[in-house]
Amino acid sequence: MSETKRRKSVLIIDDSKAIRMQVRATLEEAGYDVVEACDGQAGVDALEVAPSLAMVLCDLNMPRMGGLEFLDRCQRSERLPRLPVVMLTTDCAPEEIMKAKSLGARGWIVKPFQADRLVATVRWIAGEPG
Amino acid sequence: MIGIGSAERLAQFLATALQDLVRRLGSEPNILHCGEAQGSEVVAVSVEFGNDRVRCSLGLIGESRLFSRLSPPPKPDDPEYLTDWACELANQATGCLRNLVRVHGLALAARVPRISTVESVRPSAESRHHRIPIMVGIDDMVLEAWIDVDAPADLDINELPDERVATEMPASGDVLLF
Repeated sequence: MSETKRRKSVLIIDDSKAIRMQVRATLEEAGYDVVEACDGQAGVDALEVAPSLAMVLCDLNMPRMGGLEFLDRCQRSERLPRLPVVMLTTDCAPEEIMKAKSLGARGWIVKPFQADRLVATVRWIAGEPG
Repeated sequence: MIGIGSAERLAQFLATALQDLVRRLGSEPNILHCGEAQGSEVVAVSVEFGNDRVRCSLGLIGESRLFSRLSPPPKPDDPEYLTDWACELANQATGCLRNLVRVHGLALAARVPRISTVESVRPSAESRHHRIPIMVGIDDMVLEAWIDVDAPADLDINELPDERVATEMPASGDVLLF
């Protein structure tokens, strides 16, 4: 019986629809599937219904629930899958980077992102698309 | 209390931030002495940022086709996308500015950008004295940036960058892996 090989999925959490579309276009071209969430709370909801994701890209400054709170929620929850999270943000403050690192983030990308570096980072963290 | 010196310095940092951002998005910026975004489809957005002592507001005004020009792919011909992208550009410009001034000892936090009206971003002729314009030419178009600064005159923005902080901070486009 043949089995269809599934592509790896990446969750992008960003309140900017434009950024979500740009990330989607970049990663789909590289062979990944993309799931979108518009803030940290929507990201938590997405993790609950789609636990087979390979990794998360997450903005820092968002309404309702920001990126650091999202990381904290993921770290404290026993129900949510432990996925690698890379922050994707305009912020470069060393103390914010340290906070994210202490909350389990695996990386930090500064916007505006470069498509080739984004794809290389996703490949490094999540592996080949499938 | 409004510190004009502080406002002018923040406007200088914003001009640097905008030029850097526009170059990273693949266009060549020219700082203009005057100009105005024109056309039938003009988008205006604003974002507030600051700290306990400083309150700032950055507004951007530009033609839809200018924001399309600065957009990475995809570039859907969709007004909603371009307005959202304009908000994100304001966010990224504010981020670049905040990162620049951070190296000079001033920490500022940003709020979420919002869609504005041209009238609320571009001040009337009578009220222009406290709102500083930066006009950026991109191809045949003009990106208007207006910054409002409410800050004490003795606001500390160090003349020289803190080299230790500068080396700790990643630049736009950088990737750090932990």
